Amino acid sequence: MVRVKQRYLLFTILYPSGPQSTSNNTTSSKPTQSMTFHSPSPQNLTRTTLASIIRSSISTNFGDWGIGQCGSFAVKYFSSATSTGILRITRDNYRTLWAALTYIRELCGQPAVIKVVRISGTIRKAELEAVKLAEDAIRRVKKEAKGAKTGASAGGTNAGDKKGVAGLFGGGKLGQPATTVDEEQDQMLVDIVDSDDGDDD
Amino acid sequence: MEIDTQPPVAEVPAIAKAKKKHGEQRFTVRKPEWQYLHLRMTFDPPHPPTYSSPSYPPDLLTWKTHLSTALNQFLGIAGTAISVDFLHLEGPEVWIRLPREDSTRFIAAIGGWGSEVEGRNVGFRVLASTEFLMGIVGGDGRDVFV
Repeated sequence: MVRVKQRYLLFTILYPSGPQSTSNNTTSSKPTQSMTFHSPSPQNLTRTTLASIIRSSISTNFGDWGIGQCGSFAVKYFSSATSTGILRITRDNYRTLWAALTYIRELCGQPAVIKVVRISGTIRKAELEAVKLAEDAIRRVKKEAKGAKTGASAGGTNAGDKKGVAGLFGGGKLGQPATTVDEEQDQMLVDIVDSDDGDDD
Repeated sequence: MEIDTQPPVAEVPAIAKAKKKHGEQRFTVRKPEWQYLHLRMTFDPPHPPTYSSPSYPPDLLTWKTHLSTALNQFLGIAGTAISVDFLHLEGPEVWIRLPREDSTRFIAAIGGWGSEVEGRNVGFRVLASTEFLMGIVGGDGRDVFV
């Protein structure tokens, strides 16, 4: 019996124009470049809506044949807070799916770019990369916030950059300290690891 | 009878040298650039033999429109990106040329397509598919050299 080989695509969504300005302008610290770029996805972008958007992209670009070849992908994980997700697709067709992802230009009416960060044969490796990516993002934002604070020397308290990080990962819940959100996010990733053990073959 | 063995055009010196050294040289075209197709647009119910109207026999723009529709349905934008050259139009039949690598999916796309136009079902039939134009010109090609 031959096993069906799969590929797992770890992707991040980049928003070149930043989030739609809601309450972000009220914060004391201006969002940094990387925060704008890696801003959280809209709340109505879920696993199912994302799947239908990707499917319509495949249909537009590759037609009935494309849907037949790689319409059977699955969104294994998607976090709107970090705009990161994992897709599963049969190994022969991952390039078609990748191309369809690349051709997506907007999500929920917002200009967006989907960047495939890693292709992996097991979901575990993709998850590890996702965790690493999130940690890098936090580190980078903290560093940038610190740099901005010392540069401006406005005498702002530590709460300023905490708010900034919370704004990035909390999806607009700006009152929360960054660490809480960070733990929440790790928890989410761990949950996915546990729940998907059955598929991890 | 004396057979003229002189080549019609001047040979590359290296080839001429090799020919002299090793005798006859053969050259096989392994991966031609183009694929030539002979297509017919079919109509059901069929038109009467001498029927003629502004929409029949189809003109090149009609061909292009129908082919693009078929390709767009089966292969999406990637399919419409296949470049098709129309070489000859004769009645409801056409000769086209397209990149060889795309020919398989092209034939699959147009072969499975059907639509209704002016109360008739329209489709395509592939009459010939060949890597060399001589394959659809017909005959054994000997008459060309007479």
